[in-house]
Amino acid sequence: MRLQLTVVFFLSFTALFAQQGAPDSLSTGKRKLDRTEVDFLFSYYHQEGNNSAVTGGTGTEKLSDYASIIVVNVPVRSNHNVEVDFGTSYYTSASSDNINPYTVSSASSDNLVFKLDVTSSFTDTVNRSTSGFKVGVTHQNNFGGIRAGGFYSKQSRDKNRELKVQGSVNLDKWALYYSISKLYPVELKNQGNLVDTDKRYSYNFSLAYKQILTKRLQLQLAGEMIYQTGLLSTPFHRVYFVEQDQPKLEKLPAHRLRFPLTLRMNYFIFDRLIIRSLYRFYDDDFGLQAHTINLELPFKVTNFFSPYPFYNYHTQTAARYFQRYKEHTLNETYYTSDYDLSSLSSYEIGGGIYYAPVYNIVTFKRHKKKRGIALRKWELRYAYYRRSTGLYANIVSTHFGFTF
Amino acid sequence: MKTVLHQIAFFLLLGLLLSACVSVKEYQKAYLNDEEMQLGERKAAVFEADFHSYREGAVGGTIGNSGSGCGCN
Repeated sequence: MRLQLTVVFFLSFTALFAQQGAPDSLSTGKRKLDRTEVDFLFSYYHQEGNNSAVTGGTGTEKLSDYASIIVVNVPVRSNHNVEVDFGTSYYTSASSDNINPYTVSSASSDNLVFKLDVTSSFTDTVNRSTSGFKVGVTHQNNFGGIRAGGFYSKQSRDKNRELKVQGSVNLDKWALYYSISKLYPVELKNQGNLVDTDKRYSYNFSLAYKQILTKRLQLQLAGEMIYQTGLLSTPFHRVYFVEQDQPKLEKLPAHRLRFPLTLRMNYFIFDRLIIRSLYRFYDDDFGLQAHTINLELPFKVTNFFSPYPFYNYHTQTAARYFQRYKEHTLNETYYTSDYDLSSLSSYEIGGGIYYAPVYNIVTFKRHKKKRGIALRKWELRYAYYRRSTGLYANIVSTHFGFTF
Repeated sequence: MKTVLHQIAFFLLLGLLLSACVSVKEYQKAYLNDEEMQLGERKAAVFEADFHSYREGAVGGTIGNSGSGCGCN
């Protein structure tokens, strides 16, 4: 089934890109960078729920997360850009306290996550193509990884179509500085080795096709294939069984193949109103199938200021290995009580404001003749999220875009 | 099987629609070049995309986490 879908999808891409366009014309899309751009992003996220996988599908999922990202985009040459993304996330989680490798103590625990990615991209204006590579690293208390990937995109002659191919490899490892057994739930710590490996490898390949349909309408079709292997379960998730009170460690297959297909469509419907939409179909070999839609309606009060409401709806079937607390039986090969893999629907509703005037919001200058530092754009978003399992969350995020 | 046929029909129909579209000249792209019209997600939405990928079983196709990381928070 998945193979058929993938073949049809990729054949459609190939056929579409074979279209001949009009003669060469001016460039389109993103403006060319002549100054270094620096983006600062911050968010605060808080969730409440009562189905923590750490305690076998029962117990608090209370979590607060403070995250920030700094993105520095440097035009090294007219055709060469380097982008550095540095992200941090500090979260406190009631359930995470139960997995502290050295102590199992108080009411809450905190964790710090660092991420660093460097992307180098080269643009060939004659061939209308862009290529590049990306390397990155992630580090947190109980998990770490490195990743690398590459991409290539090409525009049609009339710049109305674009095809992009991407691939990446993620090499992750649990428990970087100690044995993985220290992450096991406290009552299972002395049972020897309960997992086959402490590594997880992910391989991604994606193909995206962008098409301008009319003067006001454009869309993008994207297909991705993700293959994961290694320890795909989480070494501190408990599972409780009908036959006994003693829990076991969550167990999932060592391989997973995932296929998301995405369609985005943006339409400038009136002079002041835009419709930004997304539909995603997702399927994997754990038996989980999902549909997601997202709708966003920016209203341009002026050319530079637009408030917007948005709505996101998601529905998914359960992975075949999921059962609730004490519903698994001992004769099962794989088992989890992680509600992220359960049958559920969720919605997210919120709004934001986006402000990006032509002559910047504010400019800081030391000397009149120099360009100085300019705050070019600002965005603020709020969202409320609710899942049919009872979990709910609030998130506030903001973005400041500077040029130097 | 019926769902699969629907999916295939959907993408074939989309393919036909795309092959029938008109060529838009550069001077006609004022609406398309608007920042709000750019395909892809807003930078400020990256945090939401990340938590979706943790709290829901589906990943990919967005700017959020696409398979890597522990997702254990």
